[in-house]
Amino acid sequence: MEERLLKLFRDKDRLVHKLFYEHYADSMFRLCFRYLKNEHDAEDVMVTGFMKVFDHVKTFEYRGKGSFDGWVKRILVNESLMFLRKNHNFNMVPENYCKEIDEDFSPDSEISAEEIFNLVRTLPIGYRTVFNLYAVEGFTHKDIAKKLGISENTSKSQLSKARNAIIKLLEDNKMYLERTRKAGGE
Amino acid sequence: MKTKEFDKFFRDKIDSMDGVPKSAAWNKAATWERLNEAMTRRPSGKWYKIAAASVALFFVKSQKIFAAASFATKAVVVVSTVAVVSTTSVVVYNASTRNDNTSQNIVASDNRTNTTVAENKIEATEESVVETPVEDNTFSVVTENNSKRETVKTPEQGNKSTVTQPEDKNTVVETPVTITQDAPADPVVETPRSQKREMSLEINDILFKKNSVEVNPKSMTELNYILSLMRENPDLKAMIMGYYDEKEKDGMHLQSQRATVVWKYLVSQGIEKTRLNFGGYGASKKYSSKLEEGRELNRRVEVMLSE
Repeated sequence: MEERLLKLFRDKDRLVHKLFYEHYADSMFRLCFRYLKNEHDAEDVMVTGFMKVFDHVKTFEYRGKGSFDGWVKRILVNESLMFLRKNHNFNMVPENYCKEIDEDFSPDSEISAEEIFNLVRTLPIGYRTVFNLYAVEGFTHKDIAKKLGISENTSKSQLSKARNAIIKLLEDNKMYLERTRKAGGE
Repeated sequence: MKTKEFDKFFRDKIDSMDGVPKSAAWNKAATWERLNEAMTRRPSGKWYKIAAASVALFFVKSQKIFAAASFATKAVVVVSTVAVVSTTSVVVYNASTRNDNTSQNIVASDNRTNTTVAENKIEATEESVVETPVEDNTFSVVTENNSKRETVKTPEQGNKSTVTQPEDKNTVVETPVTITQDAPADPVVETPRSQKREMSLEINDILFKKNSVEVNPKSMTELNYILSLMRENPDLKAMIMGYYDEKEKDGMHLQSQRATVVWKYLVSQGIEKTRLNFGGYGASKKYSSKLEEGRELNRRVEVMLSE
């Protein structure tokens, strides 16, 4: 009886985990893949991150729609950052470089999401991490500075440089260049 | 396009994505298998306990290392001659008693007549112990060139627990001496007699009445003894440290006042101000403050003499 009960408990857990995984796997993989260099790293982070979610889900307090999504996302982001910190060091030089982007520039809205995704992935690690955290995840510079162990000004200048790097990438890539010019000229 | 719009453009694009990016060679099912295996293989709860235990172990170890390191640096700073005299007993502590190595007791005696005699006595006893090891364990006698520190501390009056064996008229005390890991394996370390030895001199604490800066009459002999020591040895300098017990009101004020009282007394008896240094050191307690006896001993001024 004992064994059967235990097996039932485990099977139930397994089912819940499976459902959870089916629902979140794609979006969370995309999230990890944005931060990390390759699929293997993203997979590693996903496994540890999901295990953390399963362990701590009992302590989670539901506060309206989207709160659980946000919570899972936050765990995966932190897990990714932890992985990055372990394998790279964010030895960014503290500096005060902060520039608004050129207002004349505007990317073509027809660029596909996938292209944008790949573009962000080609950025160097420092730019990519700060841009992901600030522009996509919506953290403040204060939070980012804390998470990465850098100063707020460094975070700001990294973001500013990241934006300019993206613009340069858009322009360098012939396809975007034409579209951008067209969009700008119209 | 403004910066905010630029960010929003990227956010929207990325949020609007669906499925796995085509550039990623990722096997969703394989990851699930890995995750599932990791979840079932892990014994529930135990994993965390082991992790916590190992973390705790690491902390203990690192603290030990830290303590040993800090003592090693202190040893360099310590002033040259130090001897400890007290009415009842003397405990010689080897400062590098931090390691798990074996400790063994040696016997030291004290003499109240004057510093040099006390020093000689200690030297003599150490020498005798060096020649006749009590146990098979190894030990070292601390010398200046070993860059180790030897402090000699006085327990409170009437603290008979350390007394092991009477020897003539002097009181005999337990003296734990341990060797550090870097100490030579040779059980006997010769002590060069010509060199001054590093020891610290600490006299019995001067006790005070409750909630006041009045010296407890018991401690007047102690105070006068310090005075006579300082008169006889013009090189001696004193560090006066005031304390209070936890139950006292306005202790922060009292601690420094007590140190000042001792300071004023010594100055009035003709000791140069340059030889005296003092300060308040808070409620750090030597004894439990649950009982009045303990609290009495905690209301104290410690005087540390050094050359």
